[in-house]
Amino acid sequence: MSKRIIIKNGKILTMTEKKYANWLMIEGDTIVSVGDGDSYADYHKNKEDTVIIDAQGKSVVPGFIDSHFHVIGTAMSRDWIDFTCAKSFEDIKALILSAQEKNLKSVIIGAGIDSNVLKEKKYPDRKILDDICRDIPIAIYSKDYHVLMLNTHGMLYFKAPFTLSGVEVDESTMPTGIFTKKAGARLDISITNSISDERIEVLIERLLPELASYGLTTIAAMEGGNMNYDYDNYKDAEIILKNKHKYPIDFKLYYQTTEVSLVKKLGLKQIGGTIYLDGTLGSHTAALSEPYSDLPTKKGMLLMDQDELNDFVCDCYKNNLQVSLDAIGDSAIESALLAFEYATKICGKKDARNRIEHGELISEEQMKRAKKLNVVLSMQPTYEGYWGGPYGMYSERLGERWKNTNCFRNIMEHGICLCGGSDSDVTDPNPMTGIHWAVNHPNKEQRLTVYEAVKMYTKSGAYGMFMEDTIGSICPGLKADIAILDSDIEGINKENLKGVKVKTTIKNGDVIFNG
Amino acid sequence: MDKNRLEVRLFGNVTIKLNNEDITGKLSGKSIAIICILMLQRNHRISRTELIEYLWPKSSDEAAKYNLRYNIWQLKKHLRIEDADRDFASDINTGEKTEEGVDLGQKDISGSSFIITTKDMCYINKDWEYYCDFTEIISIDIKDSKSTSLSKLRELCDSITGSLMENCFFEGCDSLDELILVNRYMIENRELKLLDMLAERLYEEKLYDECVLYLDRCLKLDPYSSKNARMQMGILIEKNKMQEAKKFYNNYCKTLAFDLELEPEPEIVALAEQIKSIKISRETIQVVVDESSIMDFSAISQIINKMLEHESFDIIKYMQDQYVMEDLASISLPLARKLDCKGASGQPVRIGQSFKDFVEAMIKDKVILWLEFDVKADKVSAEIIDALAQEHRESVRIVKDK
Repeated sequence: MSKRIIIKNGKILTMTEKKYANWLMIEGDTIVSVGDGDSYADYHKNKEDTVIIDAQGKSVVPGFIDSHFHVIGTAMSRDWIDFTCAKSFEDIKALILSAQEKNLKSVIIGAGIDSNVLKEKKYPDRKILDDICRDIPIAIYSKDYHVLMLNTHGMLYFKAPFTLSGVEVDESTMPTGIFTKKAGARLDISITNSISDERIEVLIERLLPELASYGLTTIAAMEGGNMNYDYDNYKDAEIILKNKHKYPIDFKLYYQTTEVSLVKKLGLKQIGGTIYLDGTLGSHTAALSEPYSDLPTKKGMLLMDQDELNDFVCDCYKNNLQVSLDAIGDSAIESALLAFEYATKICGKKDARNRIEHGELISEEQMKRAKKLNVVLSMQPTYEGYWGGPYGMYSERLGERWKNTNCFRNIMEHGICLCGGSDSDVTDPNPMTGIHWAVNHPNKEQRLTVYEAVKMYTKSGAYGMFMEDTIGSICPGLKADIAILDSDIEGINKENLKGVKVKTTIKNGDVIFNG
Repeated sequence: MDKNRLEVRLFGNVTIKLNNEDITGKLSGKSIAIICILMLQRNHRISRTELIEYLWPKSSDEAAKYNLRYNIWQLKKHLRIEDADRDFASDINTGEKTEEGVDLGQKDISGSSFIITTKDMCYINKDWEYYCDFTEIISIDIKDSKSTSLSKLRELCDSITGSLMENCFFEGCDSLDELILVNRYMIENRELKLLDMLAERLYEEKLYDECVLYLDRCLKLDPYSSKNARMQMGILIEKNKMQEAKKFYNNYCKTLAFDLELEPEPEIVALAEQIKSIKISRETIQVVVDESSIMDFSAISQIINKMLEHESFDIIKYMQDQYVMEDLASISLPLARKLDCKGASGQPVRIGQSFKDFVEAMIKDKVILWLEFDVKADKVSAEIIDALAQEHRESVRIVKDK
């Protein structure tokens, strides 16, 4: 007999037509029964080996689904040393030495140094870092990531680029170990690429318990090359493909490529994820229909030609691939919608569920068209926490248009499938943080209810990946992916949502986290 | 007797070859370092004191001197100089003793060794024939691009196969690590300059295929260079590789945007516009083959029949020769009717060729042919169509087994 788990005394947010329940029963990897009150008792009586979990009146939700996650980027960032608290070269030294002690590292990478905060009022150069440590390559990013500091070994090891602007040299043309501008940008790539596949695999293994502790059971892994634009480097996606069967959490790979045949050959049913149609608002590269407020000469730019995009999307339609495009500005969203419309015209309508990732500035008119095309929007509520409101980065870039960012309420009302993701490691991977910001959106008109926000990270996430028949809600017949929380999230003060913790995470009937 | 020949490669992993035999593995790290240091010196001379400073900065004077002598002796031995043992023996006759009790001396030694040591100096024997990739690059005048022949430039650029002394780090030898760094800085800038020179020369001489290869390398070193990006796009446009030109442009834009938050220069944008305008004039003809038999040419005949149904598309204008018309009419009744000709009872080889000529005439006119098969095509048609698609990836696209 397969094992049986009953979760009782919960406020279960089922995400089904009947929105709530009190208990659920799992047999093997499947939810077999859901009910109210204490009607589970009958099942209990008949079997002695049933495990009973008392949810103590707290919320029980379907296992969280993160619809936009960079697994390898996040795994690698967990290996970095955080220098934000360093106030002097001495502090930097202490941090490096303690990291070295804690775990034998072959390289030291870190970030967070701010020269204004340091007592010395300058960045540590090669010689200072050499004094701390010579035998291990060191690379440290400044807080704003615009400056890189390397020791001598680091410069040799990471193959620092010497032909570009931004290589600081002393009077004897010896590089000082401080890199900025173009050289900094290139060096950033060689540092990322220098990490071996084996190391990355170890780091992913280490990341998994953290993800399980957030109640995550399924993740849309947006992986391609290490670098955003490097279409010929599929290393990251290959690592996920090779190892995903080993992981307790389900990684659904969105392969960042426009090579349809490659993805077909791998037997994947989806393509893209981070096929960039434009850049980001922070860097003034997201494509807008009207200029940036703080840079009136710029509107950003489209990174993909419309004809080419149309052909690509058509190709995906013909090959029955779900296609996912990364678009932030309204012009980029327009371009994505045009391509979807073109493909529908050529190939006929079907249940394509093509996705737009981020879609921060989707307009009302575009929402109507997105609904008609059954486009899925995969969005990041935590962006609002970082950048939203009248004084945030959105407002700086867009002026009054900050009110048009991430309009969750309007999107829901148009009946569009709205999924939630963290874009980790851009924002905190904890879904409760995302739920918090969807509910506490700085623009009050666009706020969601707690139930709606949870739906973004469960049922809608599943729909967005054609998985609604197996995961994303709590009803008999679906896979037993469950998160038991430490609070009644609909009962607590909304402002405390981001503090809510997960007590237990269950994936396919197995407890993968117990806090 | 033939001269001995030593080959020292400092780019990528250091390799040392004696008369074409790789002897790198036989040498200790410090012995290899001695050769490298000598090669990095302008006149290939260095004082013993400096060598010691590079290699054993933290050792006692005595130990350092012994180590140096020992490594030089080892080098001579592995460089297979017959009288190496004698050199060492003569070297050790001055009464100095090591910890092991071996006498060490400092005497002038035979002129036949690759490395000559005197009381104070080490240098390379000019009687030896030797090649060092680094030295070759250094000796070129990069200010005057015309002073170097194209083939020499090519040879130099090809000799750079990685970073200078890649994967080298000498623990505890701070000045040696710095020596490598300062030379990497210098040589990488020189490499880019040489590659630029070569790419430009190849461009001028219209050797485009080769030019693209070296531009690629330039762009690896400096992916933001607008001059190189312009050249690269120019070539791709010239060669009518529009898809590649576009892909290049897209990646270039992304690199600029994500790394530097910049947009490309107007001239490059103009080139991209040029590509776009070419694309707009392209017409896509889409053909869905939904019935086909195993009879030879039945799929091709279907394609022609379907094309005839496209009212706006004049297929006759692409049948430029009488025999093309006749051959194709022989497998398509609707075409034969339209042309009012019976069609010659063509030979299979000729029909295949005629279809190819017909499709290529369309491609020349920038038509994109998009073919879809619901059913398997007959073998003869499939072969012809596959070959066309292979040859004209940008213009003939096939979706099979829908």
